[in-house]
Amino acid sequence: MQLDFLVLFEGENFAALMSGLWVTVSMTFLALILSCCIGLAVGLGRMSSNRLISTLCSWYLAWFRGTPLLVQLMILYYGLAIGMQIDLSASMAGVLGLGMYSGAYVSEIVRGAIQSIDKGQMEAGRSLGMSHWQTMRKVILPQAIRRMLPPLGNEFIALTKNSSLLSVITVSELMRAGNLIVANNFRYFEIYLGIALLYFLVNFTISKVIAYFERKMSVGGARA
Amino acid sequence: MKKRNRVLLPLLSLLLAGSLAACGQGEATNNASGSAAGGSSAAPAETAADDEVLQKIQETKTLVVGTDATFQPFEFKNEKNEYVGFDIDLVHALAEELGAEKVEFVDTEFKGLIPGLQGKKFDMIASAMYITDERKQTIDFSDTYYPGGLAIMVKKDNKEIKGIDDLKGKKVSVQIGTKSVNFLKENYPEIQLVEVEKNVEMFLELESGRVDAVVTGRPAAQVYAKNNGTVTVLDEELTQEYYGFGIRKENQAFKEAVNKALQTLRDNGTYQEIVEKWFGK
Repeated sequence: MQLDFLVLFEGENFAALMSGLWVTVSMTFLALILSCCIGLAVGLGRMSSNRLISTLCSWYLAWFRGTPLLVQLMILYYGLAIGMQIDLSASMAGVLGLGMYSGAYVSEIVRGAIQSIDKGQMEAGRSLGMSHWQTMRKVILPQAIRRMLPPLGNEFIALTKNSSLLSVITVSELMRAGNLIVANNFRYFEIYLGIALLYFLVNFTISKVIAYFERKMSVGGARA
Repeated sequence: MKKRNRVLLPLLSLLLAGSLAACGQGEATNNASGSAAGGSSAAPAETAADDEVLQKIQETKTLVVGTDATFQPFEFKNEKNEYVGFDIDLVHALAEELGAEKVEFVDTEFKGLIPGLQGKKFDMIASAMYITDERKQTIDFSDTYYPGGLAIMVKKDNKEIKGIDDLKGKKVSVQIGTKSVNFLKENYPEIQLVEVEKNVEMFLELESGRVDAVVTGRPAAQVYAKNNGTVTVLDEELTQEYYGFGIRKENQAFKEAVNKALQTLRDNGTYQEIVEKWFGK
């Protein structure tokens, strides 16, 4: 079988891949925002002195980290519709599922980074008359964010790749678009290589964006 | 911190409770829906007006059909990114008979089709699905619309394998959750099965030499062999199987309407036209 990369551009193939890529990128982006919000909330919640909140956050982490994303998506999209007549749209279920799953991992990144900041920083803030939350927001978090960036980059890249699972809940993302084309022309190597390249481009961009922020936030002389 | 807690707490507990309830509920109702649906199918058939799907077709003039469009020649997407295939043509003709002007296809992976039908994400499944007793416990099927059966596909240069008996001790690729898996396990336990997710991967296993043969539905195998040129389908007929459209158990009136429409298409020759278009005479 001869290789022919022109099949990528045959008919509407390229347009189909591009619309798949758009679905992948946009859903990953929305899920990324959601996962940051959940991650921050759950990460801070786990360190809360309120036992109820910290227990609930631990449960959240245990549940979403302890079950496969595919199972969570199935529950969200099909389970809720069959069991409780809650009819989420595919994209809604997809973003929620990805975001909640990734949020669990982000919460650990947040907690790890905050706990790595020297205790003295909090003590200093409090002795200046700031409240606990004020110190957290103005002193601890800005420092912690710098330490969060590298693992966050990892997590976002994993999130992009995990989005290929969304095809099982009728979202036609990049992987699905590729599978549909392959099912028509059986050009595995060319199509899958093309998809791999597109995923790579997205993830390369993410790693570059993270690297940019790392540079921007680095402070000369500070322990990062 | 105190103030934030008041916002955070309900939000988090809601998320957690929602997800936990969802999983518990999902499992519980899987069993319950089976028995409940069984009960309703035993009840006298509802009148057309009561049937949710028929009513929806009347109102929206649209039939929503779930399909896994990666299965030539039944359903796939052509270079123009349009749904084409035997099932697709037949469904279009059916929809017209049922009074729907438009068919909306929802593309998903095969394993998402039955849960999607149960979850009312679509009205019907048209995805070259065999009518099996296991599936019948969960969903209903229309009358059969095409016979299919399992066949063996090998590489063209393989002169060693001439039938099912030559496969003993060899590796054979099958699609997970399909009829071929059970058939081979029950009747030919000596064959080593390599279960893959999609039929595309099944062909890939054969092409790359990781397995000696593929066991799959004859129509799909033939189209692949025709397109590809390096593989061939053996003549031996392993099973007789029948394809049907998947329909929710509670939509008995809709099922009857589909069966009636199928009969009309057979009578007026449309069905034969579509068969010849995709499978030849």
